[in-house]
Amino acid sequence: MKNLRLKAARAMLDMSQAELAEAVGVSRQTISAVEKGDYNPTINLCIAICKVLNKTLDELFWEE
Amino acid sequence: MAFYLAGVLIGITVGVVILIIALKFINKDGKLSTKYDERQLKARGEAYKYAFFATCISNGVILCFDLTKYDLVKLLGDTAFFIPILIGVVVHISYSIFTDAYIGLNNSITRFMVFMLIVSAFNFLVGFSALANGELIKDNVLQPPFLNMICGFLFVIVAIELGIKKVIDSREE
Repeated sequence: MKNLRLKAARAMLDMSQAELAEAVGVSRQTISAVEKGDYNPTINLCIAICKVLNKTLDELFWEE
Repeated sequence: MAFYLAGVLIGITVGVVILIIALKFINKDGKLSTKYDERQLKARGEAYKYAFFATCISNGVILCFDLTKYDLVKLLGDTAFFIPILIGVVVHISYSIFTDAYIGLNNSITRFMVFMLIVSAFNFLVGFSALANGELIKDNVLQPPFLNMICGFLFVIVAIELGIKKVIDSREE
C-alpha cells in the first residue's frame, strides 16, 4: 500500500527523496520504495524518518 | 622455486594494490568499504540466493553434457569449471543492479562504469591477443585466455546494465 502520508510530510518540508534519503542514511531508491509501498522499513528506519520529518510513528506509519 | 614464490607474492601484492586503488576510486568518500542500507542488504541476499541456484543449475547442465559425452565439455577444458561461477556472478550482479542494490551508498555509478570498462578492456586485451597469436585453442581445448574474453564481455554487460539503470533512475527522479 502506498504511503501517501510520508510523501505529503516530505513535500510539506519541501524535501526531495534524495534529501530525505541522505538525512536518514539510505539510498533515494529506498525512500521511493517506502513511499510506493514496495518495501516495509524496519522500525529503526521509521524512527529516523519520523525524526527528520518532525512527525510521530503513528502519523506516518500507523494504518487504521 | 624461490623465483616462483617471489612471483606469486609480487602478483598478490600488485593485485591487492590495484584493488585498493580501485575501491578508493569507486567510493566517493575515499573509504575502502562499501555501505549499503537495509533494503539493499535484503535485496543483495535475494541476489545471492538466485546466484547460488543459477550456479548449481549450470553446473548440473555441464555435468549432463559431460555424461552424454558431448564434445562441448571437452572443448571447454578447465574453463568448464569457471563458467557456472561466471553465470552465478552475472545473475547476482544483474538482480542487484535492477533492485538498486549493486551500487552502494558511497559508490559513484559513473566511476563504477568507468572501472568496469577498464577491467573489460584489459581482459579483452589478454583474450584477443591469445586469439591473434593462435593460443586460444590448444589440442582442440579452449585455453584460460578464453575466460578473459568471457570476463571482458561480462564487464561490458555490467557497464551497459548500469547505464540503463542510470537512465531509468534519472527519469524517475
